[in-house]
Amino acid sequence: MFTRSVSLRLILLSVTWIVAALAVGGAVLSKSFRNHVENSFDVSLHRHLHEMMSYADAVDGTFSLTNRPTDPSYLNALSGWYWEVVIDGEVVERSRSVWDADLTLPGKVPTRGETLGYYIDGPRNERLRVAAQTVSVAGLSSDITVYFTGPAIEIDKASEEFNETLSWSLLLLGLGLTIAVVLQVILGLRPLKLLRTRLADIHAGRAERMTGRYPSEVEPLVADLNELLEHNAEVIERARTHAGNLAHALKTPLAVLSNEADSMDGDRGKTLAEQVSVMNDLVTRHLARARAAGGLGVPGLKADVGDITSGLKRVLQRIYAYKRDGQGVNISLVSVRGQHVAGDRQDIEEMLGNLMDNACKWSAGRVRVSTQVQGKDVIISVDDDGPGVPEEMRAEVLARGKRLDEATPGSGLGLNIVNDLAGMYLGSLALGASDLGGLSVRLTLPAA
Amino acid sequence: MRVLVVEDEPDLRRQISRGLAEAGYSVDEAPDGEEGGFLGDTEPYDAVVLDLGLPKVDGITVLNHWRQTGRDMPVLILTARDSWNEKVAGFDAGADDYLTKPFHMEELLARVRALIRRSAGHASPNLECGPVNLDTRSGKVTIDGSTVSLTAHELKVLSYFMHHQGRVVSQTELIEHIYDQDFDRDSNTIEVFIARLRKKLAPDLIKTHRGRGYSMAAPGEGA
Repeated sequence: MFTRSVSLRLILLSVTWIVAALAVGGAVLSKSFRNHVENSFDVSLHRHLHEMMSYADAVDGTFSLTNRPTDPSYLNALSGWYWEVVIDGEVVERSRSVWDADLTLPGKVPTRGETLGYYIDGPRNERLRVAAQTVSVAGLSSDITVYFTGPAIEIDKASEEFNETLSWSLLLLGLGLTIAVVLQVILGLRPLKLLRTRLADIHAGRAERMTGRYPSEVEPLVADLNELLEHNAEVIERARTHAGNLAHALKTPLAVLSNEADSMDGDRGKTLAEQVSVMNDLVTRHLARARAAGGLGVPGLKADVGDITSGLKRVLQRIYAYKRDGQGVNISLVSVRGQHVAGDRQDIEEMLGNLMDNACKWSAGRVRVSTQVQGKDVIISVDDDGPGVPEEMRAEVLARGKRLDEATPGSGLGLNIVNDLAGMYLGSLALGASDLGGLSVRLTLPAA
Repeated sequence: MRVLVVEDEPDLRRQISRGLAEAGYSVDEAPDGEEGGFLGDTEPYDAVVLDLGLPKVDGITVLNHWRQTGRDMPVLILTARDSWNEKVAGFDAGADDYLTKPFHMEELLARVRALIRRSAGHASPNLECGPVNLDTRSGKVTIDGSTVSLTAHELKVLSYFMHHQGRVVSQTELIEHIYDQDFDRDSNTIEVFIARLRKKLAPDLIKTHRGRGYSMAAPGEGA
């Protein structure tokens, strides 16, 4: 079964190949070494064979040896080093080492001029390497066949020693290759890992696009990703522009209708005014949602709370400058600098703008915006010293389009638009009593 | 008091102009950013109602241009674009107030009234000059507590003097701020209005500065 990890898959495949290649290579090497050892062994047997041939003679039509092989090995009893001369299936001469053993050397009879090499079992059940040759001797009616043997254990021993060394070497080679493969896979796939880290950065909002240098195989992917990210940003921007244009297109006629309704007398004017107000609420609400929806699910968005709140403070202090006979509203920003939340800047600005505007509207002069980090969230608290909202009515304030005081201007959508937006951003909105004496609104959003 | 309305939607422009005129303002209209910008550059307005989404030149650009060239009349931005992002941009460009569409005419009138009053340095909607009291919200004029009935033009002249107390106002300035640009201006009528105001209110309320113009100040405060 293939695993899902490319690294593991590459390593497994490579190791399989390495093992197979080393096994085959080892077998071939072992076999050819044995052949080589056998050949060397045979060469010495052949030398003795040729020596023997030179001693073969015929005296009065019978076979005789002018001399016997000089190598002392052939004198030691049952040494494994034997020779025999056979004519017509009968042993006419044999080495002393054969002693009284029954050595069935023949078995194979080479044709004239041919040299055979093969194995037999010797008198002590040891394996013997045989070299056999058949020649004709001048003066003899039959060909003579000469057999020379040597103990095969010498070949086996050399072969075994070689195999042992070979196994160790191949094992080490295999290990080395495996390590090389693992390193190669890790180093070779490093760009992919880098890619993953960068993607995580984008997802977490630490970066807006892929950066860094990538190998030519990965580069197109990175370029495509960056293009996709830019395209996404463009789509949001377009959706937002679209929403803005739609707002403009709808709200101007609504303004005309509203003014027309105001100048009409009686119930008809009132009905018209009410319907215009309902339409405006719907437009406002859905545009806010549409605008926000554009920014959702896009990785890499982050908004600077400090930046946003200081801009809003500037505007709100001007809007409310003439409140309280020209004393205005004092807005204090506490530890907002450097705080970032995950989300589109405009959406966050919309939420905070509505909250701060609301606080200024109701305050008796003091508004405080503060942030605090709690785990992976940032809690932004907007406090005022106004009348506050009684506990039993707080849920109602967050509900759709509910206004507690119909006399204060405003669409009545402020808090529940914020509530909607916060929900879409996986955050939440909670109302409570403030230590300043009024309402405390706590907006919780994921940190960036 | 003379107000410029820059709005591209003809119906809305007509409604706003009518509302402002009914409240006693002289109103000039411009259908696009180019003409609005030009009028704001050349005519002395006491307030401007400026739409942001305008043809040719957008409202923010027009406003930026005015502020950069030192035109500091109060500007009320009137726009369908109600995101905070756009509000911040509007105020940073130099707007004094912001009203989103749709709106009620009373709201717009109240904002314009407040802008004019504040730009002349008055915090209260009730302007006083000695025994004379002008309620800018209703246009009601009283002297020592008793109501005085004034015509629309008389009220315009009095209102301008009440906003700019203690300062010599030339006849040209008065004409520029009381009539819209299409009005056939005649300086003689100004003298007629002033004579009537003196008669209806108090003879020494408005002083004549020969060759320079008129001034209005509470008794005891010179000008």
